[in-house]
Amino acid sequence: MWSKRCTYALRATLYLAAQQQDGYVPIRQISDQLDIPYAYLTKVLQELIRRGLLQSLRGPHGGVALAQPAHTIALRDIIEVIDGAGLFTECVLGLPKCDAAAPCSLHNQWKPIRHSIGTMLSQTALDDIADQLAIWERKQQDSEEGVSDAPFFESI
Amino acid sequence: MLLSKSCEYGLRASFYLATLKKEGYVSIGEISDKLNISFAYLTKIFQKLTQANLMTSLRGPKGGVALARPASQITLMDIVKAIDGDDLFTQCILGLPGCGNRKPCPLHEAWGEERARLATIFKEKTLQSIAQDLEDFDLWLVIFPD
Repeated sequence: MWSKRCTYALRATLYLAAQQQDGYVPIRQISDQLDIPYAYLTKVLQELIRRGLLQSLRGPHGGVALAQPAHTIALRDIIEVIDGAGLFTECVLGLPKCDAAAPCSLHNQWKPIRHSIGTMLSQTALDDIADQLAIWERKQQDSEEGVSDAPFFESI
Repeated sequence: MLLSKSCEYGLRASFYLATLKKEGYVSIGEISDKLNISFAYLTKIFQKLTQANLMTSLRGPKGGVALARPASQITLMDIVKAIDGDDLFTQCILGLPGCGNRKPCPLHEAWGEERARLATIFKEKTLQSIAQDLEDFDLWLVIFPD
């Protein structure tokens, strides 16, 4: 539903939100941990920097960091920066002329769904997700048999 | 935006075929011209639709593509799955690799409900019902460049 770039942006910012200590995280580390090609990830993160969601520092201790506290960045902020707001405003079928006056037959059913998805993503901050994921990761480490699924952040 | 650009174009081209009253094959060139979608791109999309047995194709001067069965028997879900796969209806909303029923991300359940509503609509609607709307509301399939 999102572009690949957008999914990478979400995973990378969730990874940053889950970091225990403050400071900059090297893009190389994110790339390795999430198994996202370095050059591709750098481009995606540059867009987030340009739009003020991340800040960056050059040099040996450099990297990227969230520009605001994780509880103030909504998932929708990230999505709109990378994929735009089209999902929340456009016809579900992408019909150029569909609107309230001349609706396609999905229009009236799609609107409430679109609204729910939009609200869900506006009301959920990065730390809401990161905290829950951290709980699952800890449970997995604690349990002897373990849950065999892949870790959340990292690629399978 | 919910669907990929290829999928939107595939739907639009399918709607176009469903609105035609005449029988027979329609050349991809004609569809490309009418809908203002590049010929090469459209050809690739039709390959997927043909592979999924939703369209048939015929080579030669009278050739082209046609719906493989009546428009009332092709659902939007059929088209979407043929082009985008079923990720939209199965995957985590955030694309997290480890999210699943046993270890759900916090949006898992709420998204599951919306996704199910969405799937119902896509399974209900057929090319026939959309073609009807296009006629009733004069919903053009294309924005002509100025």
